[in-house]
Amino acid sequence: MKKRRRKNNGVNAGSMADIAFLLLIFFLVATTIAQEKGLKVILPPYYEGEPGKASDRNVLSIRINADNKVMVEGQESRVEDLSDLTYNFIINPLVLSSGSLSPDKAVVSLIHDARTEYQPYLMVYSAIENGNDRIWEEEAQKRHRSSFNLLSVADRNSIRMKYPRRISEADPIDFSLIQ
Amino acid sequence: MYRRKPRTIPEISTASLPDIIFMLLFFFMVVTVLRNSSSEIKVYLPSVFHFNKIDLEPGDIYLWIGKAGEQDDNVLVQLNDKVFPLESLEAQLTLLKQKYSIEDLEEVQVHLQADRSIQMRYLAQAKTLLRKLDLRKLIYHIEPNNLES
Repeated sequence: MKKRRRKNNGVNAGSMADIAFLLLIFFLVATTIAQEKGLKVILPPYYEGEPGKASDRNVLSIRINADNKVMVEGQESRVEDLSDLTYNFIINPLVLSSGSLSPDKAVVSLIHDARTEYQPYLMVYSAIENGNDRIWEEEAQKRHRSSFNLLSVADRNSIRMKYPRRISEADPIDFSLIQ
Repeated sequence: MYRRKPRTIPEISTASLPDIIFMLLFFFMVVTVLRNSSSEIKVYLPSVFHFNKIDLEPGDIYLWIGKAGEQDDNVLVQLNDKVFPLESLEAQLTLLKQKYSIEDLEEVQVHLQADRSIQMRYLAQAKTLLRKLDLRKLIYHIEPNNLES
C-alpha cells in the first residue's frame, strides 16, 4: 500500500493572541494604576514608663485641641504656618531664644486631644514633616548639589545625624474627663 | 501590450501580534501587585498638602478604621479582609503577625486608611497597639485626588 504523505501543518498560533489578550485584560483590571499617596511614618518603639525629658528650650510644643484648633508654644497658629515654624525652630537661623539651641537636639512635641479629628491631625503632621523635609533637602543641596532622595545611603545618614527630625507624640489627653 | 496580472492585495501578517500582546502581558504581570483585600468599610480619606509616593509590597497589612454608619459613632476596623470592632484588633493583629517570619516582619508596612472625621483617640489606640506588636512602619493613606503636590 502506498502511504499518503501527510503535509506538516504546523501548530495554529492564531488563538494564542486571544489567550494572551484575555490574560492581558485580567492584569489590566487587577493593576492599580493610580499612584497611591500617603505619609510614611516610622513609629517609635514601645516601652513602658516615663518618657525622657528634653530641655524645654529645645522643644517646640504643638497642640491640637478638641475643636481642631492649633496652638504653637502657647499661641494660636494657622496650619499653613507650621512648616515654616518647624523649619525656623530647628535651624534657628537668627539664633533667637525661641528657637532650638542646635538642630540635633531639637524636638517637636505634638500633643492632641482625644477628640481631635484625624484630618486636622494629619494636616499638622504633614506640615511638620514638610518643615523637616525642607531642612534635609537644603542640606543635601548645600553639601552635594543634589536632591536628598538621590543621595547615597551614607550621605543620607550623615544628614540624618545632623538633623534627626524628632517628633514626639504623647498619648492623647481627654480634657473632657479632666474637667 | 501585455495583459495586466490581476493583483491580489496581500494580507497584513498578524503573526507578530501574539508577541506584542505577550510583551504587554509580561509588563503588566511584573508591575501588578494583586490586591488581596478591598475595603468593606466606607472611609473618606483625609487630604493634606505634603505627602510622599508610597509603594504597595506583597506582604503588607491593610488596616481600615471607619465609622460603622452615617449616624453611627461606633468604630469599625477592617484588617485585610476581616471586619470587627476596635476592641478585637489586638487579638486579630497578634494572630496575623504569626504568619510572618521574623525577617519579614521588619519589612512589613501597615497601610492605615482611616476616615478623616474619626477621633484621634481610636487612632492613638491603634498606633500604641502597632508599637507594642513592633509593626512600626506605618503609612497614613490620603485622598488620591489630593489638594496639591
